Amino acid sequence: MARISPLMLAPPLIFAGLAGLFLVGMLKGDPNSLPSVFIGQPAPPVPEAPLTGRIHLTDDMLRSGEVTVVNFWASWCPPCRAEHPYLLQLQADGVRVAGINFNDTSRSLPTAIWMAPRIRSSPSAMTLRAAPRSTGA
Amino acid sequence: MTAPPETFIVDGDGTVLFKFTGPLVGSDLEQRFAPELNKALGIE
Repeated sequence: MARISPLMLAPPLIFAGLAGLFLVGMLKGDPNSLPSVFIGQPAPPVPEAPLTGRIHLTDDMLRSGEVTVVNFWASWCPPCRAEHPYLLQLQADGVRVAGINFNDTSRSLPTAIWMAPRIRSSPSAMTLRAAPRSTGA
Repeated sequence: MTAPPETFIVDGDGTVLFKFTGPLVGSDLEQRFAPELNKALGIE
């Protein structure tokens, strides 16, 4: 009977080991539940580039005693469009919603009409870029 | 901030209470974000 070299067993064993590790990693909890380093910390300074004609969200507004939902969005981001109705509803319910635009060009922003209601009715509006721009709501 | 959409709940003192990655839709919205927002707003 032919003997199998231990070296021949190494590749499948290594593969099986890695596959096992990946499987454990994939099944280990919800990646969205990973705690953010921001939790419990003061909010970082808000961007200083407001959208033209919009109210500028300021650090003072974030510390005015009112809970604020700060949403990062972009015109090129389909999931942002999907969540937009909920954010509008929140705002209609009286929750302060601030939108911070992320990595949009000044040319593409005006065409982001779908965001217009949020921006228009928001108590604050600004824009963020690479280190975000913000439009508030 | 990694990529949009991301949403943060900030309390009245400017402290970040909660971070939500992804769109605010469906079961994630109902089971994860909404309870945290209600808690922040003092709604049981």
